[in-house]
Amino acid sequence: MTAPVDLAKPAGDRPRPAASSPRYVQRAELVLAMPDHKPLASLGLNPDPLQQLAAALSTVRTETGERADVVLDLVPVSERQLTRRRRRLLAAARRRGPSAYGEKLTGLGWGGLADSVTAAWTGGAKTPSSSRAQKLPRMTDLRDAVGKFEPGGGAVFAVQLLLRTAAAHPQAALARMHQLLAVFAVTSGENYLKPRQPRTRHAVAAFDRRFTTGEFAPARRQWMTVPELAGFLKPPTAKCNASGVVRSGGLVPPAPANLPVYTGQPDLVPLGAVTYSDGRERIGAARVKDLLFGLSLGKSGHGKTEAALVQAIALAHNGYGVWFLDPHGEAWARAKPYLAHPQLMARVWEINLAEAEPDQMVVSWNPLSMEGCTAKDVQTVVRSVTEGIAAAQDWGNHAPRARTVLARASQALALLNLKAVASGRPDLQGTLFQLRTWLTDDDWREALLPQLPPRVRAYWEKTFPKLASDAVPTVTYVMDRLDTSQSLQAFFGSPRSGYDVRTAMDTDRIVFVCPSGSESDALVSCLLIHDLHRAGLSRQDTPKHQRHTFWAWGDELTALDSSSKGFLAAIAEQLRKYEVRFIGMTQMALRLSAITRQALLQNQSLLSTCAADYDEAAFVAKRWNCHVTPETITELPKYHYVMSINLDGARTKPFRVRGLPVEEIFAHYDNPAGIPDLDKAIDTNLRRRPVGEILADLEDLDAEILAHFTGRPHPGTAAGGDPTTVID
Amino acid sequence: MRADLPGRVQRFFDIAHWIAWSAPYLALLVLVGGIIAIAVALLRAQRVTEALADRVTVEVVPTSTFDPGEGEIGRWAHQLSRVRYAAAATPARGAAARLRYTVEDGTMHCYLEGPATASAVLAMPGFAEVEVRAARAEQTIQPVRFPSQREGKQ
Repeated sequence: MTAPVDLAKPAGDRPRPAASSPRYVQRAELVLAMPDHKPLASLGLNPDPLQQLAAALSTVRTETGERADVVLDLVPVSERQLTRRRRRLLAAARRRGPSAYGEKLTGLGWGGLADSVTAAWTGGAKTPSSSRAQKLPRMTDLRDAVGKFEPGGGAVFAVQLLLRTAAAHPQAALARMHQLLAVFAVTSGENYLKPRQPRTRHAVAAFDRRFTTGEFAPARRQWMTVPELAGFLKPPTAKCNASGVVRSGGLVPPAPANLPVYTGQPDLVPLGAVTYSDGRERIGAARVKDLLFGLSLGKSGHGKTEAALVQAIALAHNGYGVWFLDPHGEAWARAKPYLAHPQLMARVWEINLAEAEPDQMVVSWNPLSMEGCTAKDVQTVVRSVTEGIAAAQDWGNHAPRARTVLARASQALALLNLKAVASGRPDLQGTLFQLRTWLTDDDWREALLPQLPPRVRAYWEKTFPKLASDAVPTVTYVMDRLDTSQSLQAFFGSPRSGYDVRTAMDTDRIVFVCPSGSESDALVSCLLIHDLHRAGLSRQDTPKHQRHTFWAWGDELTALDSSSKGFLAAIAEQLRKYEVRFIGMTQMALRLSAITRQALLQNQSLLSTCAADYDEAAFVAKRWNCHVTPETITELPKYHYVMSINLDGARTKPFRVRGLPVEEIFAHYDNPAGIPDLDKAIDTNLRRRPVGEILADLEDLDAEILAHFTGRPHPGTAAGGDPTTVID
Repeated sequence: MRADLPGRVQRFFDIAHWIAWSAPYLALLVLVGGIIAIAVALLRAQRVTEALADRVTVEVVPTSTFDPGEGEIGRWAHQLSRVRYAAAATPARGAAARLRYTVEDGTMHCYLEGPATASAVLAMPGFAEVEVRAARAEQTIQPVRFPSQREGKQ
């Protein structure tokens, strides 16, 4: 039998060499071989002298532990030092007299000796050739003596140049070193660099100390001018064609100098790691008062959700109410340990539709619930439900009859629910599942019609029968989908809501909504966001100064835009007036309708993008008046963003932000041991009930509603049902 | 000649006497000078050690169209020389600016290092088309601590 072959990728990152594997290191310090007033070759900039270095470094296999480093330490030479040096060189030139190619033409040596002999022969009389003028250096001698240090030559640096390679095999380390030496061999001219390798243990230790700490202690004095160093003083240019060079897509303006630094202040919202003007990275932040509506764009998996999660946890800890729609459920799992603190537990709500065991405790929500509502709220509830379902089904403008039927059915049930609540039986309100019963069970509907106002009743008696055959299946399709999932049945199947977003707003709750794993998570998301909008608008009944600031994050705005072209625009324009700060996320801003896009961009006080497709990037770059090029955005690394915010009432230029993981920024608040207590607290906070109990009640809900309003049992359940349940 | 000799001898003895008399003071002077020299050397060494222990690294990342002229590089060199002057209190041994070319994951990176007191100079873009980023080693974000809980926001 053949052994099974494991084709799974190894876990973790790429394999790193074992720490115990031997490493062979080659070290060399490059020093000028000749007096340092003689210049190296001036290499120019075309081609880039770093071309060879990049080519050499591209062959280094870092994945196997190889390394190759070149360090160039520079200390400027002051003008006074330079003048003194020049004076000494001139003095030496005077002493030497006329010279050529570095050799004296007068003085001692054979020429001087001949002069001495001639003088003795003539009895000391001076010959014309031994005149003082002959010993004076010529202008060319002086220029040669001063060499590259002539006045006006530009900046001069004292230089320390260290090369170091390391590999698991000594020959590999040596080969890399030879490559690096070859790179610098091209600088040979009137002067040249020669390698000086440390031999003794003390010299090796000194080299490594200089290499690692940055200590400047070159083996000998070597001053170099900018033309000699120019090729190595800058990062690789466009003339460096080697592929293995890190490059940015383009420039991003620096972060504003007055960008607040976040250390946990309650009036700030963390954005991520920002490089400030002093070169240090700190957590940049926007002010709560300035951040009214945010829009986050970019590719999936590039950190939009993580950035939102960091903001949500920070604001939750600072006492704000937050509402986080987490379509994939991963954010909630990551956030839980950071919210499991006694001071927060009473405020945490969790809506998790991923689990549906019969004894699983779940929260329920009835979008048609009229508890705490009045007759004037019926229209908002109807609109919320209709638009939510239409958005999830992507009806757009293509299903007007279905939309009308749904709205009418929702209206009817909302009115019935209002009556049920008024009669003290909120547990007999209709749910989304009763919409299907209303539309498909003629007897049930007709029995309840007398409970409705005449105008509403007239629709169902005169208009609806003509539409029913075509429109009803389109509407009931939604409920049929919901019926395939026990978790959705449990969530939508209870007449009374444990979840009420208006209460969450007014009492600073921390709400995480995770429709992941359910059959219709798009439907849940759409219904919840429309409900959020409705609840936000209902805060009109609260004086402005009493409205608690509530933060909401919603993903996949594109899906929401498909139902009602004005809905997202309304969120952007209206919710902030009622102290609901919404931050929307989407991968494709261009897929939004024009009206929605304009409204979102017009009203945003935070615009952020991670890496994006070129068209998307060009769209955002245009919004930033081309302070950032589309290429810059398309080449952003993972978890890096470019964003602009409102700061002190003015829009900033876009600046670069590095995303921070939750583990890093909230390291002091990681409390996995508190999760069991948090779960218990959520059960209490949301009045969660077992799935089995909710489903059992849902089975009888149609009959109980009918019995409540008509006093008679439902025809289909009267024979087998418990007679006590149908007596009002 | 004979008359001169006693005078010279006398001068010699005078000098010898003066040296003998001032020897303790000279010894003390040499001792104090030595102590001062050692103290200055220790102080300088300490400053070097402190400066080397606290250095800043930024990554300089060029765009794909970065193409400087020699004049631009000359201006950049002058800016680079300010790194050392920004750490004027530190001896040159601990105040050098460092350009480091290294390879990470198969790509060549260029880093600029210097004493922490020169971090503002290091973070200042020297070229129009080169971006200055905090190096990974410098990404030392401190975890946040929240103030005591508030009762509610309005």
